[in-house]
Amino acid sequence: MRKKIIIFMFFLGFVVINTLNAEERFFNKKIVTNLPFYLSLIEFSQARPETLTEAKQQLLEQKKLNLQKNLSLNPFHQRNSLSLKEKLAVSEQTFCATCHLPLPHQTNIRTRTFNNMHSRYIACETCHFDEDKLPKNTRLAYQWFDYQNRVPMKASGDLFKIDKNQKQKMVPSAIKIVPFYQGRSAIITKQHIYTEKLIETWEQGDINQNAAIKVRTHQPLKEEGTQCLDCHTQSAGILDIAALGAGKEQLEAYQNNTIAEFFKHYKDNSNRNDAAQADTIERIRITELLQ
Amino acid sequence: MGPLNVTGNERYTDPDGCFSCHALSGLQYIDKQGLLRDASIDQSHYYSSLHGSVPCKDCHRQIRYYPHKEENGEVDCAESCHVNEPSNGEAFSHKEVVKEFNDSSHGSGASKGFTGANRLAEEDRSQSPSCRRCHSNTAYIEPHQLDNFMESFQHTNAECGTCHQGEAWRNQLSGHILRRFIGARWKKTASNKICNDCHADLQPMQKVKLEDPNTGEKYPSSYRWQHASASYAKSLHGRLLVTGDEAGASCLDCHAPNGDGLRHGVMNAKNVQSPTHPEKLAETCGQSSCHEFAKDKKNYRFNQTDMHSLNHLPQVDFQLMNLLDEERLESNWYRAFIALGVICMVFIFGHISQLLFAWGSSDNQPLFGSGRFKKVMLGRTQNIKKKMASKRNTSGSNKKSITKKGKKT
Repeated sequence: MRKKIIIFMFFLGFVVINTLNAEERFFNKKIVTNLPFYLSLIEFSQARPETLTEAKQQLLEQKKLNLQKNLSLNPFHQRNSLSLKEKLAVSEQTFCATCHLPLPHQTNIRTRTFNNMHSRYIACETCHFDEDKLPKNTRLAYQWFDYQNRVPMKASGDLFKIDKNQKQKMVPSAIKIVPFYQGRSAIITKQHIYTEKLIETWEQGDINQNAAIKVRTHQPLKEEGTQCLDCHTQSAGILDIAALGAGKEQLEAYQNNTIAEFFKHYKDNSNRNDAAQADTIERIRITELLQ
Repeated sequence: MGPLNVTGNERYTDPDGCFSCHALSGLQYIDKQGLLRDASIDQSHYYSSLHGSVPCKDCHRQIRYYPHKEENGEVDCAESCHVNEPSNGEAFSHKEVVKEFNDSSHGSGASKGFTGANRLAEEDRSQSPSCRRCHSNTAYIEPHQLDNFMESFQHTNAECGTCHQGEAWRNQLSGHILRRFIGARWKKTASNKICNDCHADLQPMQKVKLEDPNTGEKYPSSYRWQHASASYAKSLHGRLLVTGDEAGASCLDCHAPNGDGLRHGVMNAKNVQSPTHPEKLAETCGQSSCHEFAKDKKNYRFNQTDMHSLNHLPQVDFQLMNLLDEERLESNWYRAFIALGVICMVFIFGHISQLLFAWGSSDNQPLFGSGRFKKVMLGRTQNIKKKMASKRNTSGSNKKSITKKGKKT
């Protein structure tokens, strides 16, 4: 009897390993034949020499920022707040976080906190894809996507970070709104074999090769993402919030967003609100927000 | 946010519109120092916190524009705010406390200029605690004290606003006074914990440089000073508090007593104004009903009791010991160690030298015991060398020796 069980267990193990392999083989094959849209754009991109030298310069000038550990002194208004690890678990599962910090927006002091807040529930590519790079007469669609299980999610109001009472709530940051191209998610996932290879070549490559990688991966993207009013508007914005599952209150809060309205007052909408130029940047009286 | 059991309702309608943005969660970024900065404020936490009745701009006074300038958000704890103090109707202020704090031995700690960015510098560079290092902005009633609170005040509801409707009541009484009664004074162990958060941590304490109040000179902290928290815990004062007997004296009861001060005037014992200065000890110890006799000059010896005696320490940490520190010699542990150590060394040296040089030597005459008895009473003076020699002679003929022995027996 015991012998039979052992033989059965061996058989079971054999079957499991084989199916896993089969899935992997299938997955790899699929990658080769049917690339994610973002990856196909990278594959067909060419790096121009002037952008290459620029990228090389940027890599040389880049300083590594060491993230500070938890201080014994928490922020005064957050003595019971989440741990640093939980706070940083914002966009770590995205492809971009392979290189970028988990809270990627750092320099623009007007928008950085708001943009980082958005990266909790919106994929980097949603704002930073360059529409000009799209083939003619095509559009990107947007859907919820679970980064952890790599599957699209059904539209639901629960996935939004604001509930009916406009109170913020914590929803797993692994679920974000992601661009879809021809019915498939256009993004590269961190678990994708391309990402693994990219890390490998980056670590082995010299600065010229890395500059080429930098240029090519950023080719389909634009540095400056969408503006507030591109989405937070009564007329059709980039995202169809109702189709993503927003309820009536959520739609109302989304379309008549006070912060987006306030930001409309700024004349200088460039990306130059750098913390380095803190003295010269445009500032507006907050009372205008209340009017 | 962690679980909060007591919740305050909204006390005012956000006159400056701060919550339009700051109520959003996830307003974070990583600044140039690599520090995670979080601009989000949980409203329910804020309203149920100690400063929940103080509008944002009472502390962050200069914020008028967005993007905010960093220096405009700086907080000065000595500024007055718009909460009225109920007894005299004046604007409430921590000014007096800050003054006392600045004159204390912790006085180099910050009481103003607080921003999110300088938390790192404060932690790295400042030896003294700032206001915010000890004073957290936690809920009125800590979750673990809730049962105690409900019982003492005969409350069944944990939401303040359900019964306490009047704005004046909430702003004045619950805002600043209630906390004093149910917070620090409730349990002395709670106030001790604030001191111990730093003083029980040996490694940073070893780096502390104290300042002589008379000459202004800096000098390194002593071994006794570094272990003050541990020796206090072993004293009767500390042990009483741990068992729940509030008769024990807390750190502040001796170092910043309740008299005229505001309990922030902790000073070096060399300072004449310090309550722990030898001349002030009669008054300080005598303040309690336990030691009233200490005020009597005849009982001056009582005041000389060392409250942080190293003899109380259960064990000696040799690794952390500063060998050049004179005060460590005051401990009986060291006195015993030195006395017994010398005796041990004599024995060890004697033993080793005997093993090395005198093993089997004929000069090795016994002073007492059976060897002495044989030598003096029986007169056997045959030494070992001769024995060995005779053995060697007889080793060739074992049989003879056996027969000899046999004859003897």
